[in-house]
Amino acid sequence: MATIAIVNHERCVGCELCTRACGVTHAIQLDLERNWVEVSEELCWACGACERMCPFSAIALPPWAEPNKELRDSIYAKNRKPKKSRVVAQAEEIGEEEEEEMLVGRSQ
Amino acid sequence: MATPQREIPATSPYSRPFYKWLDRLAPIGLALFMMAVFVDYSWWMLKSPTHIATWRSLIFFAIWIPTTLFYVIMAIKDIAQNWNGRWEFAGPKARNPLADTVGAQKAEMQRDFFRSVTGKRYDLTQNAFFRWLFHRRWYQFAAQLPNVIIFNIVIIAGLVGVVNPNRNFATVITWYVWFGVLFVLMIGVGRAWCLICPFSAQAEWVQRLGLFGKGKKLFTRGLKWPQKYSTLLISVFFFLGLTWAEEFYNIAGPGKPAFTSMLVAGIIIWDLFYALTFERRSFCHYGCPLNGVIGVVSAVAPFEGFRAKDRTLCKTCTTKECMKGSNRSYGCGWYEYPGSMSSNFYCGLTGECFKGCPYENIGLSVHAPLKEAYQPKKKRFDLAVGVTLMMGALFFEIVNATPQYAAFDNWLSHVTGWVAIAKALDGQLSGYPNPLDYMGIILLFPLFGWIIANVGSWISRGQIKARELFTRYSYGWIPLFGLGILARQLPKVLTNGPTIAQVISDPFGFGWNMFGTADMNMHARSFAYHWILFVQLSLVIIGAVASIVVNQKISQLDFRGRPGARAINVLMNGTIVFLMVLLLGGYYYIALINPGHPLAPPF
Repeated sequence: MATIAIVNHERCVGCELCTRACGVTHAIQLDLERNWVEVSEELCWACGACERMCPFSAIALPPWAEPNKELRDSIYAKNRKPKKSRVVAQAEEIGEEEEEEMLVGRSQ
Repeated sequence: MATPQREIPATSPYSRPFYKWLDRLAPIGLALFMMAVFVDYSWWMLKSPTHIATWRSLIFFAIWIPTTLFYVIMAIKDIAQNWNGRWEFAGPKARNPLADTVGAQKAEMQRDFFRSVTGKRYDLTQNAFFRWLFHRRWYQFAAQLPNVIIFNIVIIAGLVGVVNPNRNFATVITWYVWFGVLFVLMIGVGRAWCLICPFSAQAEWVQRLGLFGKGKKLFTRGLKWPQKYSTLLISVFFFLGLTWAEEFYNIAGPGKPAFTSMLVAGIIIWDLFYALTFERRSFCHYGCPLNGVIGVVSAVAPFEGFRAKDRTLCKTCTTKECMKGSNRSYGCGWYEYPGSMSSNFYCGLTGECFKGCPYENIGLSVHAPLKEAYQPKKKRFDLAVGVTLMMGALFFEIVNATPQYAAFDNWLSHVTGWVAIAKALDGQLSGYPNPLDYMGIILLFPLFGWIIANVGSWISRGQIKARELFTRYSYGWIPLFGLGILARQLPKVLTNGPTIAQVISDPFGFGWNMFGTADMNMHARSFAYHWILFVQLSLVIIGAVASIVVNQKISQLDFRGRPGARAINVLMNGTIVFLMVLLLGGYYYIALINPGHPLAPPF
């Protein structure tokens, strides 16, 4: 079983501060019916941001937990937009310069 | 969703110089009151010719001087900090425009959960006076201080006072007055006792190193309470333990007042340990023996506690001063979030969220009673088990007044050898009640509730789980339990309560006469015992009717349209009627076997 943050359902009041804190992988979601948060096992990389944010210490990592950076990077890689290739980027830059020159030329 | 709100004025109507001085002078007045009580008691102590320079006055001064010094020094510190109006509220922040779009959308998604804001309510904080009062830092301190003084006198009186319980301040206040007032407060206001509780007050003052000021550092290790033990049942078990110990040592009277003072001092020390080790009010949640009873019975009260007026605004609030604290307030000690509160079980009425909220979005509403018992969508299994266990404790208190129980208990204690253990603990103890039959009687009730829930589950052909039925319908037992336990306390409170007139003037039984009422001899028994049974019976009947109302509402809100819902409703109402008949029979039988009662047989 993956090491993830554990929610104390007796204490959790559904304020969603931890949901906001979990900004990298968005592993925490509010259970609308019960008004407590649930942590996704696939997305939680045990960074501990939620634990530091929770005012009532209702969410906590087990003491042995360490940030799973590989998981974070893999999720990050999956979610971010495809990177432009170098050639395309250079071409765009050149195009912008030409445009600028043209604009400058016009104004003159 | 949101209740219609009046516009809140930008400046407080109480910002004129008069009120500023009132704000400054009120804490000074309270500190002077504390000093006056100390001086008065010391003067009477020194005046009594026989008791000076004995161990009694040593104990007296050893407790009074340090506590008074602590309170006065802390008060001076807080008054100095408060002098220039550091906590003056500048007026509410502008409403976040996202509240009407994103916030409203989020609240709408949880419409089913937030069903508890329906119905007519009157918000007390629409009144300028209450708004002003709840903004004061000394609001809770002013409520706590008199009680703290009273319970300090209780500890001293139990240790140094006379042994006769009816002449001793400790026994009279704790068991004849406090235990009655406590239940009236619970049923009337909710956790009003927790607002003025002297035990956690002192522990919290030490934890915060201040009486009412807002300090920056806390004097505590601030450990988290372990997740595994985060349940109401701990406090219920402490309550059962306390009830047993109270019967075993016969603390509640007529027993030695020293036991009462040891109990009170023990609770304070225990509370202090929690406050210094764990964060916030962990004691009140997981250590206080009365937490379960007070929390549960508060559901009957028509107050809903400090709660957000408009939840949509809370949905977009990112700072959450109500939970985290601000420069004017501490975060909620009771682990409550006004933005999602659906019951008043855990609102200790401390008013910190009211001071903290920058949008003035916290209200304290009055509504129809019983609402808090049936409206919460999230009903809790541990609370349900707690209610049934406490119902068992109530029935034990009735059963133990009968001679049949006494005979059975005596037999069981001899068979199991419990008498020998009790004698070893204290030579005067008889070993009554035996813990085995005590636990047996109490456990009957959760078992009974569980069997009924299983029958209900069978009626619905397994469509509704027994656990859900048990959890939701146990909330219906709350009014019957609350009024039933009040009825159990009434005879003791009403027959012995009037002795308070003597005890106030002569708290230690030394022959003082502080207020001139020491010789007032009120024969309470003569006016109380005729009609007391009928008051008890009518309280039980009112409780049962209220319970049936709650059951009806639970059936409507939680089980409408589900298979066998109507038959289950009838079954649950039948359970309440059965419990009511048991209670009525119990109270009637106790009155009947009481030799002084007019209904008792003449032989």
